[in-house]
Amino acid sequence: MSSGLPFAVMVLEREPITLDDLPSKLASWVQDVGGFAAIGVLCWLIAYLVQRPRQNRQQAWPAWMRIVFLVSVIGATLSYIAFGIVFIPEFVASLADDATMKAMVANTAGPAQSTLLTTAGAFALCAAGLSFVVSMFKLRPRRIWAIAHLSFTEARRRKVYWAFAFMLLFFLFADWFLPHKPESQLQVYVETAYLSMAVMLLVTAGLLASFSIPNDIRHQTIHTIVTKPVERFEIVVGRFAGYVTLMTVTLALMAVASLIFIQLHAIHPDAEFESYRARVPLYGDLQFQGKKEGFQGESVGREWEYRRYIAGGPNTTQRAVWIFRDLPTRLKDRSDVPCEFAFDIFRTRKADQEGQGVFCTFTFMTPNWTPANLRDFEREREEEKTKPNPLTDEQIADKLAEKYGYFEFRSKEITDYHTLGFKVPAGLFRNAQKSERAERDPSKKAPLVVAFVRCESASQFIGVARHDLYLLDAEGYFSLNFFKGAIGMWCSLCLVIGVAVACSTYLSGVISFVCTMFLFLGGLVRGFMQDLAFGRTEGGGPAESFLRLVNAQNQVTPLDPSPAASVATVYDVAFRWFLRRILNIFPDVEAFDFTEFVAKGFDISMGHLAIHLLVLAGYLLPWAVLAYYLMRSREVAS
Amino acid sequence: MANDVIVETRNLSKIYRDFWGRQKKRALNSLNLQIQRGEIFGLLGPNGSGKTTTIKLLLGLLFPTSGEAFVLGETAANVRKNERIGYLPEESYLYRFLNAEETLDFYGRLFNMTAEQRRTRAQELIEIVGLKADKRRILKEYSKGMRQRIGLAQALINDPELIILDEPTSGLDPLGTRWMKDLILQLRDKGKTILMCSHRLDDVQDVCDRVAILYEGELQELGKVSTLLEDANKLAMQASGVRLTDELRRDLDDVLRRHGGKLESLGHPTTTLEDLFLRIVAESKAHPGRRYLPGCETAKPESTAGSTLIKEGKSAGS
Ligand SMILES: Nc1ncnc2c1ncn2[C@@H]1O[C@H](COP(=O)(O)OP(=O)(O)OP(=O)(O)O)[C@@H](O)[C@H]1O
Ligand SMILES: [Mg+2]
Repeated sequence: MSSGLPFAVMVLEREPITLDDLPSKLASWVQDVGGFAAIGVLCWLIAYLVQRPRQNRQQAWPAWMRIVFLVSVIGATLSYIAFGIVFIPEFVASLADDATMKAMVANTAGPAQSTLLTTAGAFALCAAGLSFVVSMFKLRPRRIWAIAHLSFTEARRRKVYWAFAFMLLFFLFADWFLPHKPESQLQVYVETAYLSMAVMLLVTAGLLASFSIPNDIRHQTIHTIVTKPVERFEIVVGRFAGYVTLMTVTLALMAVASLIFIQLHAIHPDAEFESYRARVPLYGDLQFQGKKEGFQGESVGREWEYRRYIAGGPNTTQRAVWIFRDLPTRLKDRSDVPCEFAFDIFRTRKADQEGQGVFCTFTFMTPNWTPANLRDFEREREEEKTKPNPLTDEQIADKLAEKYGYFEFRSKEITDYHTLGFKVPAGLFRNAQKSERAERDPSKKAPLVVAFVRCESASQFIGVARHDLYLLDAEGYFSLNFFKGAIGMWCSLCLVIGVAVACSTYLSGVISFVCTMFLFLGGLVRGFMQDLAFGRTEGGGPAESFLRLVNAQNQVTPLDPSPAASVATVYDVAFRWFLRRILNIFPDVEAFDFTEFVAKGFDISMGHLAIHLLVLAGYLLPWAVLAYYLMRSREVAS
Repeated sequence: MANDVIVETRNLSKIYRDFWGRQKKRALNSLNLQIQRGEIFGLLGPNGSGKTTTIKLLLGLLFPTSGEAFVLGETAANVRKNERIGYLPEESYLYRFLNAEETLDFYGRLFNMTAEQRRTRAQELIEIVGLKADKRRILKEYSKGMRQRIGLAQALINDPELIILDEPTSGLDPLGTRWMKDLILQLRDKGKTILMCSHRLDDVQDVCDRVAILYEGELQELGKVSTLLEDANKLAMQASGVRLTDELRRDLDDVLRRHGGKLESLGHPTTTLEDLFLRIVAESKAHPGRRYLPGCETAKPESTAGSTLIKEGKSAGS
């Protein structure tokens, strides 16, 4: 069901990274990168001991650097040993006990182990990054810019930009080769524009960056550069900066052109409500309520398990519940707050229900509401209506919502996957502000609002996911959002250029390009590999699957206990642990793809952008360190 | 004075290896050299004798397999030393999509020079190397000699103390060769130290103060050019104003016999082709309409007609 969805149903299979995730992300970054750093330092130590140092290669380090290095190496060694002491007994124990094993597969280390691993990683990073950090102070912007400018001029004089002329194909023929479904017209345009830009820019950037340093070495032009007072790493940074500048300019031009193209195109009247939007949504946390304890929503057997379902009917007890915490206080100053949603309908009685709508009721409450008030609430509503000069329905709802903290929207007809909406009176948010919770703790001014959704129609199911219902905070500009989407692509470009330049400090142009593409495409299927690493796929890891294949067992029954089975399980645990570490070599490319947001008309927040820039920096930094060492140890003339 | 040693190598050796660490070629074996401030030092040797390898080791383009190299008091791997070095590679490996001005500007930036400094320095050097008319053309269109000139300009951009030239005269016509040699001598007179390598013996002989001769990566000979080339057993003499007659020959032979020597050869010297070439070019410049007409061979120049060359060998032991 994932294809051909019209309108604004934003599917976010993964929660976007938020600021709250940063500390844990940072810790795991230190662990993983530190692991690689430790391996690097170890290799260096071995090489140092085996080869006997060549004094001629580098100047001697000053004393303080030697001390820091030594302390870091010792610190890292001790921490890793401590980690081993804590980890191994548990690992051995887990072999005997299946439950511990499962826990370990899901989460490698307890807090103590995690701290030890982080400490060790930090020490290893310090040892490996010391020389890198010190040499950063020797970099000079003018030299870096000289090399950047050179890359830029080269691309210009070599007429690289003709490659971008292919983008014209999109503008000229978009109407021909794109399917014409009026309602999804804009979405298709946006997606195609981004896709064609991405493919063209990424491939060009990858090629340019992969071949620059190898070509310099091949044509020996690098000889006249490294014999000037240029730090080797300045060449790497200069190339990176040059291509990033070039690609930024190109991307900006292309984005403007695409935007003009999209804006000028007539949009089908049916699609107007949904087009050119940039909603700023406020999401709640989704929970389910039902008779069963711990009800998590029904599964209706659809292959795609993104949504969970609630059963409908006059007496149904199943509810989808969105809890809005920390809503901004500005909501109370508005006259109303739109609530938009798009659900999936699963019909169990197809034939006779065809043509008949499915209805839902939405109920909003604040902590001030108690069900005991319902009678008062309904009575007061009737009274208001029968007054001589009755207020409008909206005014009544607003007034009562403010008084009771309750609002109900009855029997809204639901259409499959179409964004629908109604207005929630602002009185509700004013009421939430006055809640006891807010009074008890003034720091927690943020109101709490809970929305219940119930399906009225018998024998129908409503499928919901967290992002299917939201309160509309504001409306941004589509054009601005389009550019924000381009920033996501810019991140991918930086990533490709960075990796390609780093690879090319050691590898030949072709190989660097292949490596870069491998990493990038690997990044695209990272999700699948992650499932494999976390043991989410059915049939277990590679060894277990193989065993099942050999024994002709099916994928879901537990393995018979046998020596082979336990070997397979141990192997799989180790394999997964290893894979999880290795996985981090692959960039999380999908995270930088904001197409969905732009196409479906959701605003990309500045915080979202900032976090992704951080993620980018976190990914590229180890590559930079690697490039630094490779470039420095390279004999450019052989 | 140790302070005046600009370049020093101690047992410098280089073995080229392939990816797997197998030996491909021992290009330099235990080289010991010292180059003093203010001299022109020549590295001489046939093709593949390790001259370029030595220079690359000194510049840190290659890392030595064993031994050490010090340049301007620093190890070869230290980039700071490059502030005071100018290097002209064997071929001018420059960016072919830049023009002369842009090239010099680019290298000026690498020395962290300001825009103003770069501009004045670039114009100065373009003037010196005689590329003023072609400074806006991209290097792709340059001839070999022009590239060599811009390469030299690039090497001089930082007014270096030590200038390393790998085959500076390759690709230059005799006029250019002479110009290059004169420039090298001028630089020496300004107090620069120059290390050049070549297999063109005449070049080395004309300009170098000291030479090292390499063969198959081994140092064969090292010393002052004048001492190396002087043949103490022979005497040469050049005279003008007389014509060669049998009488003169007899008289000279008598004089030499009296001093215990022996006349070996006597005749008019031939000029070198280089001199002839230079003269013709100079004359063509002076008389623009001049061209060679068939059957009208160039007249013998007057200046050489009157001079006579005597070669005398001393008979040993008398
Ligand atoms: N990158 C390399 N890999 C393998 N062998 C090399 C490499 N560079 C040079 N050599 C070998 O090292 C030896 C010395 O080479 P080098 O370039 O120093 O000679 P040269 O004296 O400069 O010669 P020429 O007068 O031709 O320039 C040669 O035998 C050459 O084949
Ligand atoms: Mg050579």
